[in-house]
Amino acid sequence: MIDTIKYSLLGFLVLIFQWMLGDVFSIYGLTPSFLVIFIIYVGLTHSQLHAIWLGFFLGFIIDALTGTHLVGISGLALSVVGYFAGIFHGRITRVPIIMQYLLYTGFLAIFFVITVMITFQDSQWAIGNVVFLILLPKTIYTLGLLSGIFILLRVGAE
Amino acid sequence: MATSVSPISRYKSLVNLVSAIVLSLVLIASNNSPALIRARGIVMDASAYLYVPIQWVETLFTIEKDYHKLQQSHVKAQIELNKYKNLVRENQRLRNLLGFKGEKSFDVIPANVLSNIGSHTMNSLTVDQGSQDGVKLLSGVVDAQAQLVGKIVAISPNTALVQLINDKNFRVSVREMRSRDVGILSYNLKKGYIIQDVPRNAAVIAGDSVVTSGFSDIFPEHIFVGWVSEISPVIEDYVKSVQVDLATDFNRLEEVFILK
Repeated sequence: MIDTIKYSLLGFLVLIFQWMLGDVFSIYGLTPSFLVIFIIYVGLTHSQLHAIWLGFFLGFIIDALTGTHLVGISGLALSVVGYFAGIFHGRITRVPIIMQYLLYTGFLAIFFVITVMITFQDSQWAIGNVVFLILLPKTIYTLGLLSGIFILLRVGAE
Repeated sequence: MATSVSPISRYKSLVNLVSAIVLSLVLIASNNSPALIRARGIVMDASAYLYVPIQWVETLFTIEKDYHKLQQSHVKAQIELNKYKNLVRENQRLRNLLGFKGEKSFDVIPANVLSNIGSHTMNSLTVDQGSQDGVKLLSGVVDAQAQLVGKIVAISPNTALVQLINDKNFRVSVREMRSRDVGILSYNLKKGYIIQDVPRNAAVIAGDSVVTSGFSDIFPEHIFVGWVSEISPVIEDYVKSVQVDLATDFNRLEEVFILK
C-alpha cells in the first residue's frame, strides 16, 4: 500500500515535470516523454500491475492537459509499455546489457508508434516523414535520456 | 496437495492490461461526450492552481521591467491610436457615403498564460480565463500586439485551452495585404507555414504582410499573422505556394487577449 502511494506520488511529480518543463528539453520541436521512462522504471523495478494502471491514469491526465484530440491515447500506450516492461520485473539484471538497451528501445518504440501514428493518421504528412522526422528522433532522444537516468538509478545493474 | 489457481489470477496482468486497453478505447471513442469534457475541465482547473505560485514568483522578477516597457509602448500606441482614430473616422465617413454596411466590433478578455505546451498531439497553451469569465469555444486569441495566437478549443469554468496557430492541424483564412489575395494558411512539414494554391498571376512578393481575411466567424479581419518569406512555383507554374513567417513569438507569450 505504501509503495502504491509512493509510486503514485512520484508519478504525479513526473507528470508535473513533463507538463511544466517538458518543453525545456525540446529540440527542434521534439519533446521527450519522461512519463514513459517512469512507467518503464516502475515496470522493471516495482510491479507490472502498478505500471499498467499508473500508465493508464497518468496518460489520461497528460492527454487532458495537453491535447484536444483523442484523450486516452497516452493512457493506452503507457499501459501497454507498462505491461511489457513488467514482464522483465526482477529479471532485467540477468539480461545482457545490449539486450537491455534493445528492450528499452522496443518499449519506447511501442509507446511512440501508438501515440505518434494514431495522432498523425489523419494528417497530410507522408508516413515516411512521420517515421523519420518524428517517431525515430523522438525514440532515440528519449532513449538517450532513459539511458542517463537508468545509469544514475542503477537500473539493470547487478 | 496441489492447489487450484483460477484462470483470472493466473493471467492477472493480462486481464489488467486488457481492462486498461478497453477503458482507453472507451475514452478515445467518447472524446466529445459531456462527461469527458467535464472531467478534462476539472483536470485543467486543478492544473491552474499549480501554476499560480510559479507565476507569482515569475511576476516579482519581471514586473518593474514590464512596467517600463509598457509605459513606452503605451505612449507610442497612443500616438498611433490618435492617427488611426482620424483615419477610421474618415474611412467611416467615406463608407457611409458609398453605402457600405458597418463593420463588426468586438471586445477582448485579457488572460494570463498558465502553461505553453508543445506535445506530440498539439501545440497549445492554457490560460486563466474560462467560461465563468465569458470565454466561449472557438473564440480567437491574439497577443498584446494584436497578432494572431490561436483559438479556444476547450474550456472549463476557470481556464481555457488555446490551440496555437503553429499547431499542425490549425487552418486560417488569410489575406495578403498588398495584392489582396486570399488563401488558407496551414503548416507543412517541409515548407513550414504556407498559403497553398495562390493563383499564378497573384502579385505577392517577399516581405508582404499577411492578415486574417475575416471570412470565418472565429477571427475578425485584419489581425496580423506574419510576413511572406518566399514564393515557390508549384504544379508546373499554374499556382504558387507562398511561405509565411509567423509574427507571434510563442516562447515569450505571457498574456493573451481572447476576442469576444
